[in-house]
Amino acid sequence: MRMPIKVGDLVVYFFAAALIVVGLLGMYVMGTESSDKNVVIEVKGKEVYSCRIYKDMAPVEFRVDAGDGQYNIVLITYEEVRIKEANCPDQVCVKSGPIRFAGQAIVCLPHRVVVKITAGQGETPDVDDIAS
Amino acid sequence: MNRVRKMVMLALITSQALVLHLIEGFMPVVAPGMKLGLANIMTLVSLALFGFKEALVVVIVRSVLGSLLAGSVTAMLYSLAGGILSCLVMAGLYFRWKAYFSMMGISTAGAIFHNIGQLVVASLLFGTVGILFTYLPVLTIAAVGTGFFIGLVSKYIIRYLEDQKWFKWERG
Repeated sequence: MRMPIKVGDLVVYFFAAALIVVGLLGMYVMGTESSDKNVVIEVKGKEVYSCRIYKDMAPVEFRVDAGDGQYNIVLITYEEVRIKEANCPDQVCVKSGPIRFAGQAIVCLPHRVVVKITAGQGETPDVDDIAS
Repeated sequence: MNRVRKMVMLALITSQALVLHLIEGFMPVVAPGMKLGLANIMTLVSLALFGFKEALVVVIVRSVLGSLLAGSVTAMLYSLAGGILSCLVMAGLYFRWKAYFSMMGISTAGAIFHNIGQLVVASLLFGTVGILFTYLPVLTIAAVGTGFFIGLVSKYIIRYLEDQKWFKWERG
């Protein structure tokens, strides 16, 4: 008990710092780059809805049906994506607020719903993508 | 130590871990998955006073009972995965390289691996790796803070318990 912090502790803190950097890098690699973004909604690992976010789009309200009467209402606008309403017991997904950037996600653990923003030309090629 | 006395001590530790686990459930959630990890105090105490096998039993019983009392089956999966992984890591650090680590370091490592275990299970359940990346940085920052605090608490508890006359005599 002479020194409050020992050598091994520093190793742990370096490991933590490395994890944070790797996590942020992973987020960066998965997100950003191009400006157009997609919203992907998954239930139990299966994609149930996806759409592109573009300027001047009309706000979309999508009701996610997670089975057994469980639902999450997702509000998608150009500025942000958030879960407006849900009947899950903990309401964490509603309280976690809006997400704006590619790589971010809202998770509803009880319903196993993931709402995430992905970057670039995802799985939904659009008609107005002009081939060069 | 007498078998029965050991069992009673472990039962007491487990029930305390269970109570801490439940109290933690009442705390407001800052971000999903982020919590203090109060029950980890009891894991560390049983690790230091009894050993790896006993600590693992405490963790498993606490996770299963805690999820039965408040929570769901998925909560149990997360709790078990995180608890077992963090217990393994902490036992490894404690018994292999005890000289190089303080209680705070061990507890922080445990907290980080608790998060990793939970996120791996979450990724398996959701079928995506994405949430691993988006949550790991936030959770790791939180784990460093809470891990230090939990380590400090358990250090004093362990020191106190080891100094108790009845405990020395029990261990004898």
